[in-house]
Amino acid sequence: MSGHAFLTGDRVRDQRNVDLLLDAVVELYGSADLATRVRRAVDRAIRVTGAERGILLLADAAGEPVPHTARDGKGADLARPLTYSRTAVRDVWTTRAPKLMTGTDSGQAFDPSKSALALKLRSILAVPLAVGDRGLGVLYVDSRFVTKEFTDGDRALFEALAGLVSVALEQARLADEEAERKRLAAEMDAARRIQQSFLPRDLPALPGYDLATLSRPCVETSGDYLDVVALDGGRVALAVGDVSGHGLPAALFMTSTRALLRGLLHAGTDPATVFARINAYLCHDLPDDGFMSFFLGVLDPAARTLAWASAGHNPPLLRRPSGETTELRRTGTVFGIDDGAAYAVHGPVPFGPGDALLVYTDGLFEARAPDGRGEWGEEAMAASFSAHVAAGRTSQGILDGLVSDLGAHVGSRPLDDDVTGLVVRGV
Amino acid sequence: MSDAPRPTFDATIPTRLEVVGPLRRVLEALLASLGWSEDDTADAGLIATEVIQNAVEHGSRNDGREAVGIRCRIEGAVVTLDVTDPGTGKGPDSLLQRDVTVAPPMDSSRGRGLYLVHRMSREMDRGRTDHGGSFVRVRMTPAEAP
Repeated sequence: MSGHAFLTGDRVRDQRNVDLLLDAVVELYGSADLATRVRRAVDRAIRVTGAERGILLLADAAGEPVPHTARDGKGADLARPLTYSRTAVRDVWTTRAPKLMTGTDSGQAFDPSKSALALKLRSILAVPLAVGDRGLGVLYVDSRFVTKEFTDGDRALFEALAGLVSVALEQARLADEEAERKRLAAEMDAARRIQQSFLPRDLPALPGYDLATLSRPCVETSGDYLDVVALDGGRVALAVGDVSGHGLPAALFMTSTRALLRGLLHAGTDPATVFARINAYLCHDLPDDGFMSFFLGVLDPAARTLAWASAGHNPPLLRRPSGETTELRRTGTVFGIDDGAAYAVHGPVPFGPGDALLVYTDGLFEARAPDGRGEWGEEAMAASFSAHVAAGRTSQGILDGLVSDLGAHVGSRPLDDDVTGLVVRGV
Repeated sequence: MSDAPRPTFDATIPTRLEVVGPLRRVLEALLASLGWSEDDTADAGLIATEVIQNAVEHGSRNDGREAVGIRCRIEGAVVTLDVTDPGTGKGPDSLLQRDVTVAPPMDSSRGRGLYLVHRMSREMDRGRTDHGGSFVRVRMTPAEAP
């Protein structure tokens, strides 16, 4: 009869084994869930080798193979705790070489503390599950020695099956990773859309003024905050803030600050108290190294005045028709540092026809050119703002001009930071 | 269970080279169980390996995210192996335009395997699938009577 390493010479049995393997190829890459495919693979391993029991062990987080699926020859799960040769498994796992143990050598492989059944001499066959250099686990079968002694032929087919199982396991891992990546991307997209919905869309009526806003996150979500809130008496609050960091954590603080600010403003809270409350909240909840700068301007169209408070925010620029530009300096420290900080309110100062205000975050001037010319800078930004105001452009036109000038500086380089700006002009 | 060999075997395998080795063992076991000699089985295993490896390496992106189709038919002493690729690697033209009847230059990245297949198999066909990929069909017969 044939001298093939993987054949027993028993035609019926050989053919049955080949059938089992062919079915395994079809099934392992089929559509059933991984647990089902693995279970069937272990059942096939048992039948191909004529073993009594089969165990598939997968590496845990610590990189140690632990039993994942354990089956008996009748297609049922084995009761736990399992008794198996940990020595054989460890050897296969560390050497990445198959192991065939028969007779007395296998008897010593069992943990001597285990039951009498375990100490009966067993025949053991174990092969590594690996894809390339990545070890995934161990496929293990055993039998009482009196029932079955494994042969090199068993091992050859068993190894082929283990190779197929390894690739199936790796495929499942890839699919899981892909699904997780898609889920995260979908969540980030949802977060971005939620945050976008927080941007002021229907700006309140501001008779005698022209208002425009800009918000461009550098990643999906932004730590910048921009809001325009209608207050009583026709007054309007203009809010711009910048949470340290980017992405989702910053966006979450931006979102809760927005809710807090709006609640306080709608309750008629005065700006100094609004600042103290938001600061107290952020001191408590922001991570130790986190902070937030914040500017709040209150525009009164009836009185044609502007009052403001600033928690360490980049100073907004107030340009007068004469061309004189003043910086609206901070009236207190950034939020999140000192929970006892007090915030003064400046103004009101006259804010009428020809006057223009630019409130921004550092992303508007810190963006760097790719050629080593460095960041655009506050002076360049102020000059750009002044020029566009002097040219008689609308607030939207002024913001467009600023973005265009910034773009000319950074070229095609992606933005390093969230870019946020607000321009209001007296007309 | 019937003791007659199944007439066909169909499977879809992921586009990973790691699957080729075990699959070769399974196909060799299949042919051995048909009574093929060790030499004939090894030759057929080599042919199958080259064709499947070619489909994964050059007919797909080779990233495990696509599938290569395998169909094996057994008619008497003739075994026909069809291997279809998704066509996302070098593209079907790269496969179809190659002259497999001459040995490729030593620095060629494609065609050495298929030259071998052409020389070793009884018959080899190539073509396009309906889905933008290509297929290779090889017919193999044992030199020694089973």
